[in-house]
Amino acid sequence: MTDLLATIRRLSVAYGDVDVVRGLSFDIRLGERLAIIGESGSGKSTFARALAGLLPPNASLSGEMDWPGFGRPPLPGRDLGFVFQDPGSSLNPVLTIGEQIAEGARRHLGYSASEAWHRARELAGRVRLPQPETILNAFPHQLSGGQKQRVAIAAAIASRPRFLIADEVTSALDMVVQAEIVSLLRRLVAEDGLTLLFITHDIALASAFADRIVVFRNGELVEIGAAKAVVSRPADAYTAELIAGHIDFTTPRLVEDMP
Amino acid sequence: MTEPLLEIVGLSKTFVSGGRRVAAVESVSFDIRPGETVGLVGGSGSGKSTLARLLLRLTPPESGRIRFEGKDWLGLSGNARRRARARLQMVFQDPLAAFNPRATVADVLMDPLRIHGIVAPADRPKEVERLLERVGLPSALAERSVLDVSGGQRQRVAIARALATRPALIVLDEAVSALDVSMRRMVLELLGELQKGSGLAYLFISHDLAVVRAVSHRVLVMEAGRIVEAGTASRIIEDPQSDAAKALVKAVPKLESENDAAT
Amino acid sequence: MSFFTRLLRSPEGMAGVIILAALVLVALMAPILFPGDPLRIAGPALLPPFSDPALPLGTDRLGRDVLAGLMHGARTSLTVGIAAALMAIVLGALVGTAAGFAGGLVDEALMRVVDAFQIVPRFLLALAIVSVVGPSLPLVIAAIALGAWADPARLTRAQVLSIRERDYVAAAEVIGMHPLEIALKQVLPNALPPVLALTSVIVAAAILTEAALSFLGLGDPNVVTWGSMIAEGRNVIRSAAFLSIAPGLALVVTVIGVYLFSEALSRAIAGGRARP
Repeated sequence: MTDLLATIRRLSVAYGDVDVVRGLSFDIRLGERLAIIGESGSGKSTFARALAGLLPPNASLSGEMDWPGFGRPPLPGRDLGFVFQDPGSSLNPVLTIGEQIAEGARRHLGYSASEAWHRARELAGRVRLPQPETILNAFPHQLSGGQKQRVAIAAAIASRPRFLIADEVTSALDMVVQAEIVSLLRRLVAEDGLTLLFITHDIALASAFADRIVVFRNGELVEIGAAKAVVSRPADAYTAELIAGHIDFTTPRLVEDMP
Repeated sequence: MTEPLLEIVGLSKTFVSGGRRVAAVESVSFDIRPGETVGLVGGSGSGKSTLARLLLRLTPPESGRIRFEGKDWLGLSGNARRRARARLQMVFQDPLAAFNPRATVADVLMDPLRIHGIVAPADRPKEVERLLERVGLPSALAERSVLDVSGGQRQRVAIARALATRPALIVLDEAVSALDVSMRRMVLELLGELQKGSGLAYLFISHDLAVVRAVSHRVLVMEAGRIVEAGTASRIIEDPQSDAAKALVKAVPKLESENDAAT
Repeated sequence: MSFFTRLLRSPEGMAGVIILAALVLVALMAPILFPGDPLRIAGPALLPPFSDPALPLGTDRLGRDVLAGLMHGARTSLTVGIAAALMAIVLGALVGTAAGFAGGLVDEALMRVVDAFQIVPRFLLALAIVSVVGPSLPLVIAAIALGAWADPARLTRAQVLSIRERDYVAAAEVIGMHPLEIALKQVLPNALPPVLALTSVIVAAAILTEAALSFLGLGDPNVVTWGSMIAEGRNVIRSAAFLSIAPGLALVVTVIGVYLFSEALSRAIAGGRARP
């Protein structure tokens, strides 16, 4: 019996009379890398926010979320780190990088200012930010998109959470940077033994990286299984469509070379 | 040998903004022939969007020449420039931002028809219908606000707008990057069909080498404002020479099925 | 949901619209219900309110009908408020648009003029102009507008600068739209809504400024205004406080109505573009 971090039963989220998430039931296993695949409007981001307690006040939540892995509902920031899609708006433009990374450690681990600074310096190195000494004094607008996302990841793990949620963290980045961020996440998750919930619309990205894949459509769970199995033998026609829609170097071309 | 539709020679642009030096374009030269799709691929900061803006004359270059349909493209100004724009159109990345939020689909398509007198005023509604049909959209969409239409449909309206003026070349700047996977294929196939029918040429800009390969006859790789490699998609993928091309090839995620070796 | 439905949806919006509608109605009906000059003698002096059905709110020191004064005063307040706000918005929008599009030296020069008008305290500016040139309604309106146009100018400029960078403006350029058409049809209609939301606030401020000016005796002496009524009532404040309180209450209700309306208006304008 695998140890479970969370069990979700019949979870539903609605905004007024619009159902965004309907009756989700599945488990999140301790230490796994779970990918949620879905297109826009599938409810995947809403679900992630529901898990993290980040839903706006006008959202109505029903169903159960139990957390056997924590023994109690997770404290945001302390037990659970969240990385958002757009680093441009998830980072505070008037605070330095160092302050933002250190904040989690100060608030949740009770570090003093200098301890927190050391932790920030250590994390900046771990996420491979260039010139970690000096970059802590920089402001977000001075960094590139990929660098900002590294900062966001560092800030999310600063308080040593056991659960990390990455919500479309590469969707605003170009392919090369995307690959770098994915490999960074892979390394951090392995090093710290984190449970990772990775939300994306790119099924290929998920298949290379995740242990299990969950497919969402219109707020419902359509398929769940081991990543490679889902990709090789999708049980649901929608999953098969998503797989067929993926474009890589083996996809048949629409035009031929014309040198 | 047909004369190139577009000839760019030595195009350059630099600008400094705030704390960071924004991607420049440095001595970029290339051609596009009638009816061909040239893919321009590079990471963010490679200058590919700046190049698109230079080509569309949304910003002036510091140096360089552009010949389009045999004319000095940069030398045109005022009314002559506005008229000539009919032949060179663009589709933007974000289908939501590319439309006036107060416009209906019909407004969006009527503007270019009106500005360039493509058809007589009485025939415009019919032409709007024809354009919608050509991109596979129902004519009922015409009365809807652009905000009430899905992302994939919006991008097809953007293509219809670009087609309205009967252009010879359309620049597509990350035109499918913001679309859902299911929409992406559909839009790419649409672009292919439109090209087959009419000899339309495309400059297809993207950071995704796999998508560029699927639609391009030839590929240019850009990095730090320069074109660092050129060739066919097959050659570049099989045997990338530049660091940029190598990184782009490596970056494409591949579907890993059970038949693959364990990671 | 249509704009008007959103406007009326909240209790504030509903209250604001009702108050303003009542005010407009009163202003329109005044010459019908109380024909003739409201400043003429209508009855015995200092008649208490609710004592004579023909003079429901009593009379003032000179025997003038208080209710007639209130209703005609509404006309003046609304006229001044709306006219001054319109002048301020039009002037501000024109200057802000010119600055936003022109850029460079023209922008700098215009903004320094805006700075100058923003620094001078509005009421003192209006006071100074009216004292020097003389009190007449059109002048009072112009004086108030001159104190109020700087904010709309700044806001319009900021909006224009931001919208110019949007993709749809670039798209308009790409399809060959004339720059003037881009400015008037693409940029301005999207730039103006927040500026228009300022209108209500300017109307409220204008009404209060006008009341203050006429309270000080600097308003147009030929028209009855709530401010002049308050000033008149000051003379008998101990025996007939009602004469100052009634127009004072009218001012309070009007300003509250305008503010509630402007709250609801901003929300209705914003709500149209919010997406879940």
